[in-house]
Amino acid sequence: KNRKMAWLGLQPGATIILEFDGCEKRLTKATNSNEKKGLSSLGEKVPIFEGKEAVSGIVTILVSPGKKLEHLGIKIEMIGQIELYNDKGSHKKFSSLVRELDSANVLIGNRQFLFDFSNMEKPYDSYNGLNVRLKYLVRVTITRNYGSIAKDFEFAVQNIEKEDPAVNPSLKMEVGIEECLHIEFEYDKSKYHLKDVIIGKIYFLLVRIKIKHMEFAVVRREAAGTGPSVYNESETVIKYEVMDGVPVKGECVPLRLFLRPYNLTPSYRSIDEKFSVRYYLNLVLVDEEDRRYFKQQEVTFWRKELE
Amino acid sequence: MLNLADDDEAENNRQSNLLAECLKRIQDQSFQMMRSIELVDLNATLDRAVDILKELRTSALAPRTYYELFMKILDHLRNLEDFFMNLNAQGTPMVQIYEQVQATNHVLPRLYLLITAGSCFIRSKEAPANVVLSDLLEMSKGIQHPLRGLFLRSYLSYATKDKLPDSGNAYLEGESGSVQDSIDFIVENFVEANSLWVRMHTKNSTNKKKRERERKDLRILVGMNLVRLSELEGIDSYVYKRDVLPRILDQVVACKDVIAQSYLMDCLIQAFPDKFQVDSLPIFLNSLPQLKGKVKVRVILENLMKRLGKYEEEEKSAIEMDEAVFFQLKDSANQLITERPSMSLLDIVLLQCSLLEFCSRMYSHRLDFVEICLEGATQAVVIKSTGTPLAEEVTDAIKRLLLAPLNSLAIRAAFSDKFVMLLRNLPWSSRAEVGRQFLQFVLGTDTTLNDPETMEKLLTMLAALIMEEPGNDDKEKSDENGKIEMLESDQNLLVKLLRKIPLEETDDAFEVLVVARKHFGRGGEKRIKFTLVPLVYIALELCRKAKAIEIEALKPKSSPVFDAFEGNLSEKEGEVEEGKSEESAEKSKIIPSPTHSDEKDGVGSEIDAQKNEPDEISEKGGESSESEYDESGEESADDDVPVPNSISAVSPLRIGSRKIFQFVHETVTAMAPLYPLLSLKLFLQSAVAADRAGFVPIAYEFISQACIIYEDEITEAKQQISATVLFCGTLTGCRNFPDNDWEALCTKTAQYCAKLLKKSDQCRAVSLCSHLFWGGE
Repeated sequence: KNRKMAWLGLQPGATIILEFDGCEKRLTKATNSNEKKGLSSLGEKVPIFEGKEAVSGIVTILVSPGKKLEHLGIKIEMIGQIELYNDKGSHKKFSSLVRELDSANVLIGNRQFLFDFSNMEKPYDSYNGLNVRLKYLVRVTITRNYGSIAKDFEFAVQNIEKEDPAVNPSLKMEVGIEECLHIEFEYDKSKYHLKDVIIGKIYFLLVRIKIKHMEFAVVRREAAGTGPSVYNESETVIKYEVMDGVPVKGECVPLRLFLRPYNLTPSYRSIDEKFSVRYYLNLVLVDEEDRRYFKQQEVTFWRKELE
Repeated sequence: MLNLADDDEAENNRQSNLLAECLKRIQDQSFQMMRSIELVDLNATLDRAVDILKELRTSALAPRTYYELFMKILDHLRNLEDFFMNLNAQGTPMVQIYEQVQATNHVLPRLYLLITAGSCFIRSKEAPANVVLSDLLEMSKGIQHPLRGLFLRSYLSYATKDKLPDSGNAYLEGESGSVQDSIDFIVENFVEANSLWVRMHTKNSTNKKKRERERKDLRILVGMNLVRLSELEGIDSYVYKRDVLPRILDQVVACKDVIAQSYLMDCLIQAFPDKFQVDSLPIFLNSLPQLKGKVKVRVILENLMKRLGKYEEEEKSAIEMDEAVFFQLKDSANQLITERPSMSLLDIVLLQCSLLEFCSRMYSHRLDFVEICLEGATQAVVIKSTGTPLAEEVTDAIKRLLLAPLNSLAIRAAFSDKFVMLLRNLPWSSRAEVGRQFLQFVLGTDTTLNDPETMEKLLTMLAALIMEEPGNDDKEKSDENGKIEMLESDQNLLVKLLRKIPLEETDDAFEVLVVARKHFGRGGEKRIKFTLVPLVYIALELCRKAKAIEIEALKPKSSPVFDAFEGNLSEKEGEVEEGKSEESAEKSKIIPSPTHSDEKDGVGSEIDAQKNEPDEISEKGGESSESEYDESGEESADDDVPVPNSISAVSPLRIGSRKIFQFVHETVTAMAPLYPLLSLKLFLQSAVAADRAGFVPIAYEFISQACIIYEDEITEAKQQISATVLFCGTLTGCRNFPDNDWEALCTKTAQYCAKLLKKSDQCRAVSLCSHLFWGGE
């Protein structure tokens, strides 16, 4: 954008470059990819920071040779914000911290500034959903008399829990339709980390309907907004056929799903009271007339490591 | 019908079109897959493989068509497997591939890929074989559709067959598993495959035929698992008995499906080595009663016995099959019969028949075993037939049953009461047929009938050949030629039995003959002329032998020449003539042997031949010496046979020749009313024999009897003529009559001759008769 403006003759007279510390070793994440689109969709790659990690780095101001840049001050701001798409693109900063890099001054040639937001909390993960986005950015602003120059540098945040949940009971349930279908299913855990394997078993206790196949699905429910203007959106993020054909009574069908290949997020509960993301395991039996019988069970996804 | 055929054809066309479309798509996909493989692009390769495998998700194909598709796809999976192995060789951990294929959304392609990857996983030895195997097994449960599931499991079995831990292969080491793991794996896969197969069963009757046909097309996919088991080196007879067989049988019994049970039981019999079968027999047999009622258990047992029988044949080593095997089989058969009231009589008889055939092969000398089978069949017949006539198949089966022990036991089988009991349950004509075959068999062997008991039993058994069905006399009178011919040939066969009587032991032979006569005597008018006449001739021969022995006993010491001669004779024996020729043998001191043999031929076959005069003369010469001999023999003769002029001494025989003549007398007398001319001939023949044996009074009696018959019964001119000729011939043949007897007899004969109807006949006869009145003295 800056470059375009330069072409038009409205050159800002300076270029801002920001380099996060440890950038070359950091995992990156595409920013504009919706979570549901696979791993490698196009988009700017941004570095990932762990929640408690210090966000620090170097800002370089490039002033074109032979020119000088007169400014009223250079500041750097770290912002965490939530954007609700349906609320006219309202941005709500839940977190913001400003540091001054330079007071009013005249810059000639290149100039570098170190920055460090080590004390700032980043309690939420970056999230890019259907109706809501949570993102972090560092904004460098050069204030001038005639129009300021500002540039945003986005980064991603992921909070991780290194310890497995202390309590992680299996999910077990017996469901059925009177005299038609009785099944009992069991998932080995109620909390799965994002590279986990869901292992389950489905027991057929009574089968009087003609089942064609059985699917297992992971459904994400995103609730964005507050009060009356909450937008609920469900999407099936994983669809996995686990059984083909009609089982007989007493049959037990295994389920094993590796979560690694899918682009999931942890479950989020009331993030800044603006949005929640919940996950459900959905077991669907489809009969020969394509009627679907299903049972959903909520599970918690958590992040064990950066990804 | 036509409509149905059209439908079938339309269906076939539809199927081949569908298949062609599938194959076309697969070809395209596989081309792309091979390119991805060349580019070493795992993701793309897997995507293409999934596309190929998706074709197997179809429900439109009939089993046979599906099979073709399956086989085609198997080729591509082999390429994929090679690719996986290459990746692995280049450093990709197998576990990664194994995990990655599981991201496939559809369960069927996913499982095919998983099995392919699993097979490589085992080959790479990056995971213990048993762990991978049980994982594959577990995951395969995802396919509950019978057809698709069966094929998937068949692929599982195919892909892992050379990777099962087994004695002497590389997968047995360390932690990668034991033979037991392999057994568990195959058995489990078998159980699942069978359940799927059984599920194809439908109660819907409209499609039933088609469905059953389709199911049969698929059975190999289930049975193959048993073959895999049998290929495991690590299974020995003990393991099979303790672990493998019980588990398989449990499944077979539990599946409660007629087609499956029939097929799998047979698979078990065919797939595993014989030693296994023998060792685990009780377990196998115990499962039989638990099978569904419609399962042809008889067939299963039959196949089992055939199999065991072959074992014995192949082994040839002298492994005497444990008799426990028989009892196990027998008990099993009995249990089935009692527990399955619905079992048809035919099935029961066939079952006993198989059992019996098995016995004959395995325990060739066990009459008691045979009896058990026979008794079983008899009981079944008694209980099941309840007086109604037996169906033809049943009688055929019983016939087979009765004839089965022939080869091993020969006539000993007929000794059995059980045999007779069962035989009695057959209709007369079937009994006759059994008898006929039996008889032919016996005649073809070198059996000897030297004791009366055997003969008694044998002939009792052959009653249907010997006599008319009781209470059925009238019916057969108006019989066509065919029947009569049959009757004749039967009687001729029967008579041949007499040849089986060894005549050397005259006492025994006589007793046997008595039995034979008793039975033949019941044959009625139509039969006795075929049976009794030869019997009489044999009896006469016996007389001669007995006489010879008696004479021998009188001699202080026999000369070697005589011995040799006697031996020679008995070797040549076999015809009635010996009765007479023997006589001359005794006089052989004076008569040169050529004459003797000459005489043999002369008297040979028929009484008519006795007109041969030179013989008579020579015999007369001999006769004098013979009587002289009788007189001189101080120690000679026995109490039974008070030979004229002889002094009683200890005879070596219980039954003397005289007694045998009595027997002849009785026999012929019995025939006389029915066949006068024949009897007359026989009397005369006997008279000659008696004369030569030195029993003059007996000879006289025989001729008198002939005279009585002539006077009372022979009324037809032609018969009278031939009778007179016979009288003349006979008398010329006799030498020992005292003068007064001789004269009386000659005079009588002359009278007969003179009284013939026609003058010309009278002339001829008288001239013939005239011979009697000269020469001689």
